[in-house]
Amino acid sequence: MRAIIAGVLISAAVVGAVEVLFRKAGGLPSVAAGLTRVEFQWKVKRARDRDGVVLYVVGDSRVGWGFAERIFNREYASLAGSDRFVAVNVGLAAANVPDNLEYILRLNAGRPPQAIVLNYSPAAFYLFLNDPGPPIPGLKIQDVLDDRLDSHLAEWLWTRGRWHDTTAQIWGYLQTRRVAGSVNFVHRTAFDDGFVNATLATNIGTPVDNAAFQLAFYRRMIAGLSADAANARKRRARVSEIVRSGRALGWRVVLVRLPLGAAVREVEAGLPQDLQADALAKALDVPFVDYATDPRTAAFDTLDGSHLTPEAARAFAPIMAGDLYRMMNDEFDALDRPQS
Amino acid sequence: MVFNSLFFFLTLIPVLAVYFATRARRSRFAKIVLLVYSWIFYAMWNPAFLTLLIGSTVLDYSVALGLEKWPEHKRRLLVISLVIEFGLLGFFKYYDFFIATTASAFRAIGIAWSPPLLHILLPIGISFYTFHCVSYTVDVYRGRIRAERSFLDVAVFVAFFPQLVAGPILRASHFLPQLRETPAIRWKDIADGITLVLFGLFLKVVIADNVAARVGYLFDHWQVIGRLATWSAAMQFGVQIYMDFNGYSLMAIGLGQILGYHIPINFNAPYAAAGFSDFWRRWHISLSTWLRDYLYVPLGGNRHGTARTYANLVITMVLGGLWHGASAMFVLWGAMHGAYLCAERFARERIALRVPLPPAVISALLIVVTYLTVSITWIPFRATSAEQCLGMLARMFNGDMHYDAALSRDYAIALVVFAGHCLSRRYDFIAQALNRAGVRLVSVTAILLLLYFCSGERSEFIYFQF
Repeated sequence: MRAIIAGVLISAAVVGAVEVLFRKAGGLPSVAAGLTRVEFQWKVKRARDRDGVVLYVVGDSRVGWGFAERIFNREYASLAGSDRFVAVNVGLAAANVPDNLEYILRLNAGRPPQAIVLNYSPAAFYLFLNDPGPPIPGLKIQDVLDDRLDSHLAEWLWTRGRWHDTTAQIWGYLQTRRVAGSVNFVHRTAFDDGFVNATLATNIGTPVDNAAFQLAFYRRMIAGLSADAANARKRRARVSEIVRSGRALGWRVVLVRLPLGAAVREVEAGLPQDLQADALAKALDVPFVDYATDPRTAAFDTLDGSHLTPEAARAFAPIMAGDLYRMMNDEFDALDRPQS
Repeated sequence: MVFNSLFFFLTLIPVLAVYFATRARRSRFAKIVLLVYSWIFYAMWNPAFLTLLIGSTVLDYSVALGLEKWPEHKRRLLVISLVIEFGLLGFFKYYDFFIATTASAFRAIGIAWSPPLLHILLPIGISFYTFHCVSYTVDVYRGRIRAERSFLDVAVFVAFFPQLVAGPILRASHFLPQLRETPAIRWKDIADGITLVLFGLFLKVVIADNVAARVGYLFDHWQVIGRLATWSAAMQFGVQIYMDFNGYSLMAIGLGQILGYHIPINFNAPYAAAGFSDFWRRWHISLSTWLRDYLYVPLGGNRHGTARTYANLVITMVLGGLWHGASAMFVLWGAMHGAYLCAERFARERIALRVPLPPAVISALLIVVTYLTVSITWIPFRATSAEQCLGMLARMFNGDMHYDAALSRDYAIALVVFAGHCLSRRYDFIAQALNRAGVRLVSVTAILLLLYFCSGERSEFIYFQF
């Protein structure tokens, strides 16, 4: 037993030393800035197995951070007088929308059609590549709990499971004795209302101007997408094809754009016209609600120009629930009736 | 629940605390704690299937008591028990497979029949606990053990969480007597148990999970890889499945030891086997001995002539293959091993080979041939379709000899594992770690650091699907 205790102490000392060196070398934790893949898959699996109509709210971190599903569901249930309509926030950080849509449709193959609320963001539709991964066999609650533990530990133990990053970072530092500045998300927080967010931080301790960081990112992105519009159009065509196949099976689809900061909205307006949200809605032939320009929501606070603050997310959910109820309840209700 | 997770260890700590606090004075309460935790451990997959586990336990507890109470009806009682146990296993595991196979057979002779498939979810570990229950009832029937009066002991035997979902398959004759005693636990047992758990975690998390991605890549791209890569795929999967399953087994044995119970070993350097019967004395030992005692011997074993012996070997291995899953690929895997065993028996009995080589050289050649031949069988075991299986098997002997840098790493890993097994015929490293403080210190430190820095992407244990 003494050998084991000594082994644990030596290991702890080595891990501690590496952690200190990693931080000194400018390393940063690896935190998912939104839903993780396990959480995404678990939510889709649970939603699939429930009775009633499910509204999958699909998008990137704008959905993950800004859609308070529980508040939405309470509001929708009070309007519809039934809790058979449930929305699920499946906004994956840096999501590749076509892949996420395909995942949801594939997992529901052979089951009654449901509803999808797509949140428009140029990055999610035309740029980001994060997908939910292959379905995890035998996914169970323990996997989700483990995933949560991993997410928490990632805030404290930055080098855990990151041998390559750690050695590269430390080696680079030892070679040059200089820390290259970098920015990453930290402090991942899961809110009871059904959304998750995180905070931007630098590795050298300087404060991050979140709005400026996001604006610079979106400027670069829109310039890139405009220069390579052909590739963006290919992705748009893929989304259209998936949405068409889903609708052919009876799925109901709605396109929305969540509230945004004015500066980011202006930058996004620089995209070619046919890649903008309203053109996309026409191409998909689905109803579209633009909350980014809607007077009720356009001035909602954002954390960084791109993502809603928790307070704004809470205020926004009942508005969206009311709109969807007025626009779509008959359609959703039809999904809930037994098929003849 | 799975072992390779923080959640498991976090929940285990309070359970161990209560268990150790109550074990000596209130051993019955400690066993109840073990049972409840085992049931929770199982229910984490799907709570509904816990009823099946408890149902099987109640059935075999009652049947065993009935066998002693009404000896004149013992055959009938045994049949009832076996029909229900294997009926449940067959329904959950093989219903769709047999229906689909029968429909295919009908189609082949021109009869169109499209029966509905149920797409039933397989209760995890059902193959393992069914074998536990059957071994208990059969042993009572044969008079080898007495029926256990304590339901608690039988329930703990069936549901003992360290080995519940992936073995090693326990025998009632080995485990029930341990449950009747209050286990004496020394610090050395706990230290050995912790060391074994760490070795198991290392094999699973550091090696198997890291090899898994490469195996997945090679099998996913089977149509475009060459001969050397196909051999590499087979060998890499051999590494993965050994590390995965032996990792689980070592954790099970270690956890059992911490709790004061002995669980027999399941692997003994199988890739150093000199021959196929030797391989099956070293690979998944608890299954191979179960099949020997409850299938091969009752079928007649080698007592009814040469032809029957060969037939019994093939039947046993085919059913052993089918035990792994409802797929023609597992049947083929079992049939290949059955054929190997028959060929080995034939060669030993009928062909008196006189090779002018030293015994050590002959033994080394046998080990290499056995390793390569067993590697071939991993193709059907891992393949997801008959087309993939036959395509890869053909490519092992007929593909191009394209070589790339990634293959060097693959072959190096396979070679290290193979050499490690060969060395362990003479030098048992785990025994050294358990008995020499210096080796234990170095091993524990290295494993903890590797677990911390180099864990592969977490995945299920392969044997959970069986």
